[in-house]
Amino acid sequence: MTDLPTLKLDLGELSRADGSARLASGSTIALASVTGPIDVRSGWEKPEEAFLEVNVRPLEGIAGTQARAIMQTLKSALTPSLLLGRAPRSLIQLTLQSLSPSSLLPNYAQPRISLSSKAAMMNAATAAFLDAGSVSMRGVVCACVVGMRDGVLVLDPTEKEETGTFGFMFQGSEPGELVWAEWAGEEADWEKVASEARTGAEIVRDFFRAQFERAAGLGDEDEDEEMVEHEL
Amino acid sequence: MDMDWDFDDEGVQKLTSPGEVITSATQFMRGHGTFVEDNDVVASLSGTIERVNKLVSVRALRTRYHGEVGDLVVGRITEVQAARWKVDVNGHQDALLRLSSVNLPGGVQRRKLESDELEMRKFFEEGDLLVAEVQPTHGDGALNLHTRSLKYGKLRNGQLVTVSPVLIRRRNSHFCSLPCGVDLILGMNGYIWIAKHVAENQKEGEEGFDAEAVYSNKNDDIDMETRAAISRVSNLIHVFARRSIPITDAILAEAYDWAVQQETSPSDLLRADVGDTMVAMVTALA
Repeated sequence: MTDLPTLKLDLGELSRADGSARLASGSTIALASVTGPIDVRSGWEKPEEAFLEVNVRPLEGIAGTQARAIMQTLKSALTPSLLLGRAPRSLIQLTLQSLSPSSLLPNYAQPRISLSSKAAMMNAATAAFLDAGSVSMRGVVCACVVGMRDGVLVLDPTEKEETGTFGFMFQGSEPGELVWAEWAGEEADWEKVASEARTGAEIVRDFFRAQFERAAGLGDEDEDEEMVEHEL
Repeated sequence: MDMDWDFDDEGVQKLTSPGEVITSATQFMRGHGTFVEDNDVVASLSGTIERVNKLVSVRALRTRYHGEVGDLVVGRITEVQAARWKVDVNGHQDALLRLSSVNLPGGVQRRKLESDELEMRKFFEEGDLLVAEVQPTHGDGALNLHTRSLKYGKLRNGQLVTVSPVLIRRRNSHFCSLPCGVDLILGMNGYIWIAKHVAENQKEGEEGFDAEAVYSNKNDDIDMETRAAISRVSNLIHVFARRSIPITDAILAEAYDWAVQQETSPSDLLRADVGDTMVAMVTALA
């Protein structure tokens, strides 16, 4: 197994959203923004819980069928982690902007949004929800992409190597619960792949924790460096 | 029962993650940012744990300002519209300041004329800072502001510092004067205005409502000592905000005295070691 690609997280860069996060996993980048709970338009209003609206925007072109499919996937994977019943008759908006180009592969008719890109969007969405702090959550969902390179399972696949992506919901320090899986491979490999993906997702979770502690001023790294920006 | 579950072994405050069990629900009550599951109080946010007696809550790291009627806020004009201004107050939406909710030159009772609507930029224009009070909110959650008091209105002669709204506590007066010759306006929305001290008898008076002074865009002369004091106070606020310590005039006055005694320059305060010593000293005194 290889390491995860280098992760980088920027929080709260969009000033008008309640929470936002830009997540880079290697060269795959996604930007997420969360607003809510806000007023819901009457058609969407649910009497007992908040309506979660997810928008996915590819880097180029308008959102097509693929973006809509991803939207549905992310929505169903994130829903278990959100306590939507705590904000009835309201709207929570999640907007995801992919910042890495979709690729044109010979075997697909349309530009394809890669699995890594989906995983990055999922992780960015989670980080944006954590950053917003306005939506109650039951856990955090972290995603990890897996692939095969020369017959070996890797966690930093290129687009051609990737075979699947997994999302796990973590509650405190308990082992993650599988909430999302898209994978193509031999059935016999499933256990192994899922457990590797879980390890990868745990690394993402620990990374988030470290980043948020730093943002809260609770961590001790890099403080000098950041403070210099405020100097007159 | 272990009472220090919000600190790790080294006494450093921990950050909760959603879904993390904080404590037993049979002994504690759940507050904001938590929910109860299987007799446990569980965090529903990422933030720091706060405990008041038996009430346990989680305070989110970064929050937008949720206005309450009567709050004092500092804001910045973002847009001039028909008979109203839009004001950024760090909330979900821009707040509204109606032309009818400001004091216009010519006395408090003066009627608003159509000509006033045409020259709204004479009073406030985009980018201007002001201090105002929150009035009952608009239907869609946007706040209404008013500046119908001589204490409120346009801000000048100072500097704005922004911190998280949770660091500002509600109190009797949000207008404070520090002994170092600096006035402070602690906006409930986390915007803090630090300005040169204006003596009580030199404030723009009710009777001779002086439009020139109230809506002036020009700073008074500010001497070097006051400038140094303002930047020192602003850096102190940055230091406290970095460490999530609530901002009050008492703590700032204390820290200011310490900084002057130690002969630190205003920019030295931003160094982590100086900041740590300062915070340790001041919080030990408090």
